[in-house]
Amino acid sequence: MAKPKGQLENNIRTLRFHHNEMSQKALAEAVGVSRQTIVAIEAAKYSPSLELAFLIANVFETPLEEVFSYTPAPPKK
Amino acid sequence: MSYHERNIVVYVITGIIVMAVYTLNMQGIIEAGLLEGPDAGPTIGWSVIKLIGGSIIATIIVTIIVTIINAIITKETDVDTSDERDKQIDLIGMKVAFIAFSVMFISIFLWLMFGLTPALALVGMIYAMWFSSIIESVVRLYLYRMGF
Repeated sequence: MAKPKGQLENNIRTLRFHHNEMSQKALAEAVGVSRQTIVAIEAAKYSPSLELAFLIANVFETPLEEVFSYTPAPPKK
Repeated sequence: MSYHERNIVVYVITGIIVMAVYTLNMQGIIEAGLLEGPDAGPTIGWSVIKLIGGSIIATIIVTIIVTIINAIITKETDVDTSDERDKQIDLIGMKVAFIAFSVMFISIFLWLMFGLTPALALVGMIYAMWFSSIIESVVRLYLYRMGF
């Protein structure tokens, strides 16, 4: 049986606001993806690759663990 | 609607139009009994070549029309770029299409056991390929619209 998946969350929206109110489009161009991909990442509907996660963290000059957080799924009783 | 979503819609519309014309063509061929003699193979071969040619021409025409209309309405020009998310959506669509085609493929062979002619089985395979590509497009469009 497959292990239940946890939840990958991020605070990209907040970081964008604090970086001169960067737009989603500007962030997308900075990391080389489409604006829709940034929208999906912010909504936690798409989990970025490790490389893309690092690129996003580098844009904000912030450690990766301050941009993304992972909450494991509760263990089944 | 994004560039990729629009491309998928164009592909689906074009596919439906082309297969509708192909179906009318095949109906005439079947009614004329051309799939029952020794010429069945060449007849089906020619119909597929015409189908491929017609698909290419129809896709080019519809894509040009939609691109021009989109540029006039939105005053934006799209850039053809695919990132990792687009590739992942493509992969999921291909996986679903493969499963769908496999089910239809086996069904056709089961049907052969119960009396379907080989010529009609071949035509059935063509429809199976088309239908699985439509399923792939629907899955990809669904993932894009759900914000995957």
